[in-house]
Amino acid sequence: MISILAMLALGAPAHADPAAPLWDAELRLGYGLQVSSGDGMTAPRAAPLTIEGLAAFALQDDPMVYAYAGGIVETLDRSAIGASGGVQVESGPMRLRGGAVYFFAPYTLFGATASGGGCHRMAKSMRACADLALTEYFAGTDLVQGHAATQVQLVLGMVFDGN
Amino acid sequence: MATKLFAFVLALVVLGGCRDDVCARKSDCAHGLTCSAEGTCVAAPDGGLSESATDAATESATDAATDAAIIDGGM
Repeated sequence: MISILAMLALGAPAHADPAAPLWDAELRLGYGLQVSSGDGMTAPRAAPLTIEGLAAFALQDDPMVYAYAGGIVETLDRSAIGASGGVQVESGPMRLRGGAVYFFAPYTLFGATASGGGCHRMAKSMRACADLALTEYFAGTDLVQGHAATQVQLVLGMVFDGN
Repeated sequence: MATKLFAFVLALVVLGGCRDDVCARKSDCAHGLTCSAEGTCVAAPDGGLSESATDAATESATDAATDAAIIDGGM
């Protein structure tokens, strides 16, 4: 993670941007803050670390629109497993993403998520990405009744392009 | 850009994430505690037994009673 940040900051040798891939696979690590929202907000506290593995497939080009889906786990101070999916729009190195998150064990949690950020090509078929993600959990057994939970995360991703 | 974002989120986590006494979700609290509507971890009303643990205890007691009735009825 530190090496990715260092390379992003220092400017690793740029590779020529090949044609947009028809599919890619991504490993994402997210960490940040969460607050209770709804009927009054609480002070922020650290959110769990999320680890996500996603696959994205192109739906259309110009602009490139992808559908993505995959698995997600929460870890550090808890363990939970779930799935996520949605739509991603890419324009050059920038990307926007919107979708849904569902944790199903050991508790349930439903949320809507949106993120935006950019990627830097590290190799012919590998990109390092950083996104700011906002997730609103609005239903599930892990929520306090009448409250939602809002999570803000910095997400670092490593994308492996298909063809 | 990414470094600035990371520094920003890290600063927020350091400044705001030190509050272990607040919670936004039930899983933010330690075992035996639950998240109150005020956003603090408090003792769970069932004394820390989760709903599934309570269900499992009830189910095994019912099974034991059923088994005893079958044995009694069969003799």
